[in-house]
Amino acid sequence: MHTSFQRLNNISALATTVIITLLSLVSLTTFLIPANLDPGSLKVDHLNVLLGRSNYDRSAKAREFAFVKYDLVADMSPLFNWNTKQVFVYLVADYSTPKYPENRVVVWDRIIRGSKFAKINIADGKQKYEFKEITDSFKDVSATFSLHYQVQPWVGALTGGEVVRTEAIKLPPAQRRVHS
Amino acid sequence: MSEFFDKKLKELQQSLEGRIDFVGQERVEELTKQILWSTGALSFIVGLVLQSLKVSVGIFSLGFLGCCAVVLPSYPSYNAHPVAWLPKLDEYGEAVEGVAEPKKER
Repeated sequence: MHTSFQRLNNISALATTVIITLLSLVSLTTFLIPANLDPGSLKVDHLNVLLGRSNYDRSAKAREFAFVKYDLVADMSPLFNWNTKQVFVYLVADYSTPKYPENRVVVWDRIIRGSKFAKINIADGKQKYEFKEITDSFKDVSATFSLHYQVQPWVGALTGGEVVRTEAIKLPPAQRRVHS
Repeated sequence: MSEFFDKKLKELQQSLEGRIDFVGQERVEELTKQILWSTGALSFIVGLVLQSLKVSVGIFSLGFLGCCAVVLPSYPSYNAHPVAWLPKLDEYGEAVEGVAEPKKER
């Protein structure tokens, strides 16, 4: 502590300790600040299965693609506190087949970057990603759809959960794509 | 001429070095602890109340800069307690009048 440079060294070392303490306290508050999410509503209005090929591989064998249309209302704003950087929400289809008992497919997602964008209100929403089965066929499959979220904090651990889940919905038999 | 410049350079070096005495060092140590921990606590509380991490980090940065301003320069008050050296002795072990001079550097 006898010269200015020594003092600078000393106070920056202490400041590092203080800021680490500060940030660990901040990351702990994530678990203390309550986030009571209202159960939103999720309705899957249209669900149909078409036989076809993906856009990026026209020479592939024809397989079944499921198409989902849904109505989704949810308010994610309780998740936003001082330690929330952004919230990732995603719509998942869960189903099981005899061969593969657990399947989860993300059909839609969104990154919410602030509490003013946190109200989700989608009517007749389209899926964002291809929904296809690993065995190429959705025969006798019924899926439940659910909305999940993950909170990405500024400091600390990732947390997540589920907002709303539908009843199991049976996927209809595949139709051949009609060319007009 | 070059002696003059050497002397000036040494003065400048010493003023930049910012040496302080032992009492000043103790005070600076205490001040550093108090300022940094209290701004840390303040920034946590204000950030929690305003629910803004930006405010929190801002307050802490200001506190750190303030601490630098208080602690880094060698203010005269940090040099107000110079060490009282024993008097200089002559070859018979008798105290010589006047303040002891520091040894000349070779």
